Amino acid sequence: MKTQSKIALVLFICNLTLVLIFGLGIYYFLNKYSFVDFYKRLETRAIITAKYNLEQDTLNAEAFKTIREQYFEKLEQERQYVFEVNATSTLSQAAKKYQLPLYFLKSVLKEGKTTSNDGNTFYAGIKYNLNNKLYLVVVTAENYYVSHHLRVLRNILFGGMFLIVLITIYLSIYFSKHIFDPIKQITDKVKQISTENIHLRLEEKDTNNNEISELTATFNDLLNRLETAFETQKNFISNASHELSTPLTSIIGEADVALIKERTVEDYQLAMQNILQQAERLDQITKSLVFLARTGYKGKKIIFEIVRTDEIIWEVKSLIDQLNHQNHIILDLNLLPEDEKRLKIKGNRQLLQLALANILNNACKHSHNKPVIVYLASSDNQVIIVIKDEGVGIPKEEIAYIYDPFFRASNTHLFEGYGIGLPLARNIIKLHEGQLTLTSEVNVGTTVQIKIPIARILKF
Amino acid sequence: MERNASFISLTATEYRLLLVLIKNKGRVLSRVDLLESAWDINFNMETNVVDVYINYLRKKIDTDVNNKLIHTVVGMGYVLKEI
Amino acid sequence: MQKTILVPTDFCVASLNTLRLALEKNQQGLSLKVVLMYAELLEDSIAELLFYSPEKRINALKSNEFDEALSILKNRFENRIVEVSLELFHGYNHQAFNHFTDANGIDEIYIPKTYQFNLLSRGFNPMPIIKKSKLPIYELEWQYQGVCLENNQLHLIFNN
Repeated sequence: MKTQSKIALVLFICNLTLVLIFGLGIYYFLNKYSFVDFYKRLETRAIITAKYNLEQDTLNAEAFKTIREQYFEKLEQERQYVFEVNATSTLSQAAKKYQLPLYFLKSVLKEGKTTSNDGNTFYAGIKYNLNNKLYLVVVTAENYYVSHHLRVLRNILFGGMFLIVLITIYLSIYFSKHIFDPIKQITDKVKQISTENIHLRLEEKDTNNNEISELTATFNDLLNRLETAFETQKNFISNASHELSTPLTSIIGEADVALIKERTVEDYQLAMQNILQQAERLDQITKSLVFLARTGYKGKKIIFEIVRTDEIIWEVKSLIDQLNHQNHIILDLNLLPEDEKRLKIKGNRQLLQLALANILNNACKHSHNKPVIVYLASSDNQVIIVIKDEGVGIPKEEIAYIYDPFFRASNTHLFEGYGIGLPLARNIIKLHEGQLTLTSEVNVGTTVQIKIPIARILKF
Repeated sequence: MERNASFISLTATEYRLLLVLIKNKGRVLSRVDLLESAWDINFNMETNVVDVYINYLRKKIDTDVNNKLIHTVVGMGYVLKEI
Repeated sequence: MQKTILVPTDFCVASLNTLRLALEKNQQGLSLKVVLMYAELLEDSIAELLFYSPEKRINALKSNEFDEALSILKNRFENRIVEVSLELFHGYNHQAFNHFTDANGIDEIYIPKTYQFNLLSRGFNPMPIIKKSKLPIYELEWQYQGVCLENNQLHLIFNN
């Protein structure tokens, strides 16, 4: 069943139930009330009948009769019976005579006054004591309300309900259709978009924040990301082939030139050295590519252990000191927490070192070995590492692409590198369920902020 | 690391710091001394790092033990006392 | 011994540097209770006042980064800080401020020397009022450049 008809059905059933409960409720309570009310009227009439039929004082009786006739409307099929009771035998006689139910008369005798009904005929009876004689006064009438008013009410209710049901059916079908209209439109449009025309977007019609425009926006966002991914893929291939072909071309060129004619041993050595250099460069690129690929996919077995972030930073620092003597890395550990457990994270030492070394190297490189400050601190559930340099920065327009492999900002041609470090670092941080954010301003510096969740260790 | 036959795991930095303290047993070492000898280079770093690491070291070595090893000399630095 | 210090804040991470310096100054084993104060005028409309709740207001004002920076400081000075509380100050004059400090049992006040408060809608700069207080006031100097950004400002806490 389609969602559309499901919604229509649910709406309809809900409405129908509510209307039914409402109608039946009204009918039931009114019915009950009409009984009570009618019994009261019959009882009053019985008392008055008793008074004017049995009262000795004729004057008083006359008055009652006047009241009775002037002010009380005559009920449908109203009859009054007054009879004396002296023994049980007369009770059944009376019952037979007046066609009254015997059980009713008995209960009147027993309880003093009582009410009852037999179908539409209602009875009210009272016991009346006069001059040591026992009288029973019984008034019977047909319940006009049940027979007439309630019937009208029932008809009205049924008619109303039928109308409401019709309206509900119409409305639920209309609404369910109307609600799903835009979704259908979106589905149709999305169907048209394929890899060929991925630049197409859905129209974002109304600016008001309803679910449909949200859905459209989400779809467009998804398409944007897909398109960027596509572009990245394309760029990656062209960049990678470029990066790989440059050293290859120089290797080929160098070898070619060396082979043209016979040369001295020194020349050969020089040529071989150049070739070796380029080959090493190639090797490095492929190695980092392999790393990048490995960190890009989860599921590969990477051994995670509990590591201390401050230790890793110390290690990375000494590593960089060995490689680059001119570096000017300052560790600012003033905000280290008092509890060293807060520095422990679950991670892979080598990968984390690699990530941090990449970032620190970038920072040193792009700032001409100006001071690079590394801050370390920990909040309640994250270790925070901030790396701040005073380097060339990244142009604002290009920040979006810095995580693309092989992307290099436009102001970096003076520096060596092939643009794998940062994506790699980010992948590694992501593997550790962390976040890497980067803010930068051209010629002011770049700040890299890394957050990694603290390891939850129950036992020490 | 072992103290009273119970193992204590130290990080490299903590170990270096402890080593310096042991080598200079009984002598009061200033924060700058410690910084220079344990981290060999003089960073332009605040000496407060030493406090942090001494604190970590103390927590590991001196908790649950009656005779404390590392003592603070107010205004001077730290000293590792002989038992 | 325990004392309570008051530090004005504007819910920017940078403003916590005052607190940081204040904590670094108080090295001598004294435990501290910290009251961070944000000065703000009360709403005018009765409807707003009816549903006014300081906690909700504070939660609306502060960012996750602020919380995180605060927790960094709490962890750094774990043994020294007893409690950090955020309070709103709605007064107009120094008398109201005196009441505020009395109510919170403030012993000392630490204020930044040059920091420009980043004021949101109804916030105001409490400096003139604070300076009239008779409690000991320490002015702390620290470098600060830039503005209070919405995001990525956590590193500002590391500024010296």
